Amino acid sequence: MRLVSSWRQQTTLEEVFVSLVGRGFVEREHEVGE
Amino acid sequence: MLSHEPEVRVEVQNLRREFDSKERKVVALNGVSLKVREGEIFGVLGPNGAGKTTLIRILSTLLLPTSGVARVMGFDVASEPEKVRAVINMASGAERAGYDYISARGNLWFFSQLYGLPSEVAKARIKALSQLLGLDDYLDRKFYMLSTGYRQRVTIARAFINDPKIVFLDEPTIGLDVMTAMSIREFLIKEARENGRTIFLATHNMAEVDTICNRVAIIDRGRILTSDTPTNLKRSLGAPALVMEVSPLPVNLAFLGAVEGVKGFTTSVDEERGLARVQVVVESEECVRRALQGSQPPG
Repeated sequence: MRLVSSWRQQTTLEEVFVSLVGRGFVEREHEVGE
Repeated sequence: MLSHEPEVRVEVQNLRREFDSKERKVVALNGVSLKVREGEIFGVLGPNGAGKTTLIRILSTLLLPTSGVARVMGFDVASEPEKVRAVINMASGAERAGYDYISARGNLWFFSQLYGLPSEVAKARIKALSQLLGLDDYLDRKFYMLSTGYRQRVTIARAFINDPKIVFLDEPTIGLDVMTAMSIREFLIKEARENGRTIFLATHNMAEVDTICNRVAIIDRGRILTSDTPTNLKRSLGAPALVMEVSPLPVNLAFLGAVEGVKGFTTSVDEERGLARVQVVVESEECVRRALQGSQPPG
């Protein structure tokens, strides 16, 4: 995987959601899959 | 606009709801507390199974809480459900909320009579809601002949037919085209601002929350993780998100979640340019470097 470009931008509500729920959600997906 | 201090219309304290399944006890709500005021559009965001619908079902008296207190207009949902039902209404984007072989007008009339509205009042409300929701030309069509968008307009009109103080809406614009969703959102804003109605909205649609909600609660695993205005929530993360364009399209970006200081990430694909766009939520500037390093192949 090659990094083509990167920049910073104002946080969106979706990103707030992901930051709060994201990790727990990934853990749960694994739990379901196990 | 309200000329007085807005009253508290929904008050929830330490609400808990458990469901028993054969294998284990499922806790759908685990100590939820919140207040929603007159004229507010309050959004509840959460992944599937977070507890949003359970919360709406308890507040609209369709389900009893296991423990805790929920009051709507000061009435306890468990001990005074009839008083609660008289001042609320609800609608879901997922339900088919009308009778197919009755006209849109007939459906609205039927539901107005369930609330005991006098004929003249019911007619006037159907007329006013039809105008506001752009239903005038469709009122005499049978429900099944209406498009998805117009059926949903009827469903929304139904949710306001009894002049409710509080309306609970579960995914009201799901599956609708952009223009229909916009006109429903405009209607909801007008009802909250001009008539002081409280709108309690459960949704997955971030843009919807950002556009119309005065406050939002993010709920997961039965708990409220945070609650504030959309603007304050966006500010609360501090460091702006890092956006990376990478190529080729990555198969698995799970490693990013393990990078220290990365709170989460979302991805989208720019097929035209053959790139993947990864938006990473970071704790601080320092994490940006680690996330960038993590995106490069080792060595």
